[in-house]
Amino acid sequence: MTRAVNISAINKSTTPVSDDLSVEAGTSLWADAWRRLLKNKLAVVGLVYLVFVASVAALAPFLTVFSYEEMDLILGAVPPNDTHWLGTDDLGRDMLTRIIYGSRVSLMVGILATSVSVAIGVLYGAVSGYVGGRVDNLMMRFLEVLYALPFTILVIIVMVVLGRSIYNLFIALGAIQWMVMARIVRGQVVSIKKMEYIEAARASGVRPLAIIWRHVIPNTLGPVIVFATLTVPAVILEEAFLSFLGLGVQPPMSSWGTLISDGVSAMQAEMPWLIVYPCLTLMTTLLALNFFGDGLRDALDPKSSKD
Amino acid sequence: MSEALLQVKDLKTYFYTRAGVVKAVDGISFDLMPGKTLGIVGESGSGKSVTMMSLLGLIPQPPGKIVGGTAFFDGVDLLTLSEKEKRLIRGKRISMIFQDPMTSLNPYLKVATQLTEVLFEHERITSKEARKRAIEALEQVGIPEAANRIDHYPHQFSGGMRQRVMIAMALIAKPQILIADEPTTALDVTVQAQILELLKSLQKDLGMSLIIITHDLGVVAGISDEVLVMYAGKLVERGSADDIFYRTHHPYTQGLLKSIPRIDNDASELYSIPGLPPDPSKLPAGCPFEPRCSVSKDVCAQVGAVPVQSISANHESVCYRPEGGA
Repeated sequence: MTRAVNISAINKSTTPVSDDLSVEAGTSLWADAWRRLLKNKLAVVGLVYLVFVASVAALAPFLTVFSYEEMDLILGAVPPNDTHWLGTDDLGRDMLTRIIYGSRVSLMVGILATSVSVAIGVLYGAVSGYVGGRVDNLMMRFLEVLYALPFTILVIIVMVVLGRSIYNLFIALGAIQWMVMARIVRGQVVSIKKMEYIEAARASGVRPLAIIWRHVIPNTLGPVIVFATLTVPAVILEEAFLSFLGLGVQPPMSSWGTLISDGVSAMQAEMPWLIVYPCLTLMTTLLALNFFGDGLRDALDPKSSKD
Repeated sequence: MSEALLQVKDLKTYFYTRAGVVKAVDGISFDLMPGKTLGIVGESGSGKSVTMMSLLGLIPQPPGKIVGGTAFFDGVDLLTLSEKEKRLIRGKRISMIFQDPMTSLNPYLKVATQLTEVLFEHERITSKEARKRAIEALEQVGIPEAANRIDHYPHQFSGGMRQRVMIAMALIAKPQILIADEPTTALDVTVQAQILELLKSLQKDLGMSLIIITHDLGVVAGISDEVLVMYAGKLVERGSADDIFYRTHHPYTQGLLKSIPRIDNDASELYSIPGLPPDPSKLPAGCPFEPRCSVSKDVCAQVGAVPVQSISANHESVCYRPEGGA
């Protein structure tokens, strides 16, 4: 059987770690950041692992032998064995298959909802902080009002307005998560806009939007990236909660969140493989994400380069 | 006499704070001739920088407000322009360099990006052409290997080199007026001299006018055609550099000159003007310098504007003391 994923092939495809230490400049902030990122071993490991998980998710139909939805009630729950590497759940569905299919939803929700929250949060926070004064006050109070509303109600409202689909779930989650991001960015911007290089840019006649885009936002990237890597696990777990309420992923489709919440009840039935493997997958992915996020933050700071 | 390039009359910029009205700039007037250098001297908080910020429209409003005055630059009053019109002048026709080169460059952007940004903002120009101009500007301010260095980040430059980059940034659009706000304060002495030399030679080459703001009389002495001494937002004394240094009239200017440490002076204690600058929201009713003045008389504390004395053709002093001192 060829269900095995060829890990070594993926590893080989990554760029070798660069040992080019010259100060000679690259072409852009991003090219430089990439060069520095490749020097950070943990970040590269994290990136490779994430690429691996993402490829498996993308290629799920070709890599799995069993169906994620077909039940085998006669088989029932069996512990890991030669045929079902990670065992089966109480309905006789192969756990590995369900985890792989679950990664599609979970990664999507992680990436899309976080992107939505970063996009809204950075823009809102940057404008609020940069403009300042009454506008800032108004924007922040509005945010606090939203913040005070219960999370579930907000998601339900968004889902009702947009219609119920898995993609709207991503948007709804992002539309909730941006609030903390906006506050973090605003705080950063308030201190950044007092820097002399902002004054210098203003004194050379640069347009306000260009100042926000080119001078303010890049300087907030560090905390934004760190917080974004924390947002990913948060939205993955929130998706599980919403799915449990029937607002998110519907059975028989699975996500890591739903698998874990199903697994919790299976603990009492002494079927630990139902919770251990989804948790392990989630954990390793989040760990890889944090390594990568950390490396990215360091790489994006031109001063952090050791050369 | 040729026409002044910049003519500031009775400029007043006040800040409305909870502690009261701060008259940061209170009735400053000066003329800037084409190709000449004006030095503005004063202690911290005397309103030097606020004067310049007012001209460029960089005063945060509120709390700041330009209450009165005019500032004619090339026939237009800078103070009445819209934000957009001011933006087109900033960096293109009047540009400014700041005190601290360590924080005046964005650490996230390459020098090339920051230099060309000014050009893209003011001219229709291809990126190739902009880059060429940026390299030229860096060469002009004496940065070696400019073509290479242009792709470096600010932290890869020393303080003096960064100030050169700042000057290049200010000059790249070929402005008519360059305002240098304490350009050498954050630099060490040898570098200070280099930067001043550079400013002087660039001014000659480009034929622009220069306004140099400083609290260092030594800087002013070497470079200025005309000197303005400010105290608590008001003009104190005005004249040529020679007038200010050799025919000093105002007690405050005298105090400033006396407090320059001299290498040939063995005195164990350095001279300083007694007292502190007044709280800008509670200025004395009469002459603002009266409480610290060593030669003050009763009349000085009286309510009302202090008369402007004409010492010679271009030398004025705002003091009750008769000409020649008493």
